[in-house]
Amino acid sequence: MDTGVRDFIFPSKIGAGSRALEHLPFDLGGFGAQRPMVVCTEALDSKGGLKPLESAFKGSGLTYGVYAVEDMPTLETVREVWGHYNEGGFDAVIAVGGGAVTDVGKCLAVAAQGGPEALRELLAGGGTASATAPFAWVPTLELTGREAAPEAALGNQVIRGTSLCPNLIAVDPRMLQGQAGAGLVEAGLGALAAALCLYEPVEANPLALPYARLTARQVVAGLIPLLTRAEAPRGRLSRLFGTGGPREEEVAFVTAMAVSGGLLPEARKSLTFVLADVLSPAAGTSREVLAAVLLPTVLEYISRVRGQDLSGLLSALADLDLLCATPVNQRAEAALAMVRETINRLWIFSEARLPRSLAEAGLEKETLQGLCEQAAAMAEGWQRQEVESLLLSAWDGTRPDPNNQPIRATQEVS
Amino acid sequence: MYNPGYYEFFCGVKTVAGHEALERIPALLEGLGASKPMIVTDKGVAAAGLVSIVEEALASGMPAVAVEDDVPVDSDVGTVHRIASVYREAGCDALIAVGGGSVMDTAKGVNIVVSEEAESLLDFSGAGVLKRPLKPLVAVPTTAGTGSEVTLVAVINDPSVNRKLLFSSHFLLPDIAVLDPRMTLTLPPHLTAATAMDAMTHAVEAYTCLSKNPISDAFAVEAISLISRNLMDVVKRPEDQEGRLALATAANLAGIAFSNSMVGMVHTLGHSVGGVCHVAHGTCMSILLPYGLEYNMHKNGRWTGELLYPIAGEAVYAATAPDKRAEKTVACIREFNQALYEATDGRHSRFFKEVTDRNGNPAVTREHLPAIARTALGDGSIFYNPEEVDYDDALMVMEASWAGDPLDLSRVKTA
Repeated sequence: MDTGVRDFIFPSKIGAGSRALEHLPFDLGGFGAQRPMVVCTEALDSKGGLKPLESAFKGSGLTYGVYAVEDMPTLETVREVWGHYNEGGFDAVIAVGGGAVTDVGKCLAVAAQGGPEALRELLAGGGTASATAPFAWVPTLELTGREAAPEAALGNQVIRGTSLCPNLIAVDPRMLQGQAGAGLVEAGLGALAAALCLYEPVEANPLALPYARLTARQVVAGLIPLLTRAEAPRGRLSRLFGTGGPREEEVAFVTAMAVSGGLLPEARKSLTFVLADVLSPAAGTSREVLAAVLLPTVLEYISRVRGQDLSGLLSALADLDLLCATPVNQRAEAALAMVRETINRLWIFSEARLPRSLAEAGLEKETLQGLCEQAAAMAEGWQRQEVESLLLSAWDGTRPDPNNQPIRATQEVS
Repeated sequence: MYNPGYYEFFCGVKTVAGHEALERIPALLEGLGASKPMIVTDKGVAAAGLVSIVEEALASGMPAVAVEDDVPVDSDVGTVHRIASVYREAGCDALIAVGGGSVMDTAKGVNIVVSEEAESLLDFSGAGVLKRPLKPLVAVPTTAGTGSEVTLVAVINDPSVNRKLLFSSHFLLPDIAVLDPRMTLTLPPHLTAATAMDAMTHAVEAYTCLSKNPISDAFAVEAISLISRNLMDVVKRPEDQEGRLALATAANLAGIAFSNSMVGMVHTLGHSVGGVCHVAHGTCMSILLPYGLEYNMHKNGRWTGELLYPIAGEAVYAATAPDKRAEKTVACIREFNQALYEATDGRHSRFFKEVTDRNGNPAVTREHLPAIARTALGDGSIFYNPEEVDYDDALMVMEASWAGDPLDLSRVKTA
């Protein structure tokens, strides 16, 4: 009997919404922390982006120090910041921002617990971090989608471990001001792929599905409005009272993006991400974007060629009325159309830089065929011919044809 | 999607679910640096043969060093201290709680005492007192209902002052929850129905109460959908392991949902009926659920209406006009209770007049109702109910749910 044992954990506590930052001192105190070190970019610090944090900590009894990191941090960067951390008597880490900032924050939290040498050994051996100092993350719109994942990267070295997920995530609308950058498009696409590839197995992991549905809905509904929103006018009093309204949509979207990081370990087992991992070095495109390019083709192959029921996919994307109005046997197709439409619309926002097919991602057809063997070897339960057929469809953006496939039915595959 | 001004969501428990999930425990404990686990359970669970299944699953990888099966129905401080002594003497380094809420709470209490090397558990009562991680704790629930394997509180009785002490901390969350259908396989149909309706109520109230949030909503909908699709099959075919696993998963998801959004008047009144008349919690929940929804409908009818989809499916949802969906949701839950009543040969009660004690006497009489209504007003969950509940309202709902009559909506205040 297939025991079908599934597991899942998303250990971060999320506080989302108005004045979320004001809860941070109390929550950090719950971990015994009294003096956190804030890690952020030089740009954020110099533009006054930490003012809401300053106001939140005022009178809390906790004091913090700030360290601004460079764009491409290395182990030496972490060593340096650890030196300040140690000398300053800090006992927790708050990363404000995304990408490299959170990587440094996580690595600092590891070094704070076991020293920089322990971090170096973990990075060298690709090890699993078992304990960190208390670590909080305050998102801005500079996101990659990996911030809450149980991993951290310095250069091309990666460490993993559940303890690398932030203990606390504070999504505060005051930190989500300004215009969303092109990086957010890539992050959103990666999150969408991480959420929907969970539908690849015959039985999706029910423990992860609530997070996946939340992420997919918010990316499809929230990303484009966020990219097109007008910058709020900055009046004389905006410095004191902030600009714009309560920014509920932004908070909902960024919260979903945070959650998507927790889905990454599950997503990595999917064919979509396995193929993206193999193709990414050759394409020179990020794994997350490639995963989004591959996603509709992989799901469509599973649905049309393998005959697997993917009608549940629509429940992750559509509202109840649309879901009910769509006949069951049309739902997979409707869901895939929504995914493709989202990718195509984002192509415009990226000023045509975002690929919609593997060809647009810069992969030569011959290169692709050369990678098929490697991809098939890593894709458990998939035959080489299937992978090749699928990749060729994703290469030119055509739909997999069930009548012209090496394998036609699920039974034959199994 | 509903977005509140501010909300928090947290579930730091790693859930492992599946057939033969128990066999994963040794590897999971090893990952947490443990090698000498103690099993904490109660006599009922042991007599049902469930502890033997757990011991067998551990045998080859990491046998239990000690088994303590003397946890009472209401966990108390003395029991916690006694089990903590056994833990220390046996040199244990982890706990496996096998059972329901009382067993989980006792194991959490033991974990505080042994991890903090404390003389007395009482030094740690209250919220946020614990400041560091405790010893590894694995929770193995034996009913698919309470969701206590994913809660961060423990309620332990202190008989010396006749008070229940609350312990609340992130560090009280079990490290791992293991859901294995073998743990609920012997649960009789009427108890399966009652516990699953307990989980259903957790999810429905989480979705419709005042402190709902988008993440707990996602968990609630998933849980309701799993229960609606599987409960009747499992009641009719108790050996259905797939269905059992689905219900255990649903209870877990519902537990996560209500832990992060609280509950409402169904729990308010249910706690009170349990306290005054000693009726099983799941029975109270299944009887009161439609009444609680009916009472609050003018405030949260939109949310109740949205639940028609996971409860009744797309055909019913689509065929029902939007302004009638909330009423239809309530009607579907009543029909569900009726179907469970028939499938369990009348052992699943539909209203309180039907509930009997062990001797076959009525457990709840009309004379009990004023006391139940009075007691309910002191229950903490009342604050999260969409409509403000006073004594007259509580009594009105109790009278209707006792007799099995639908609520007279003209008597519900709508201001």
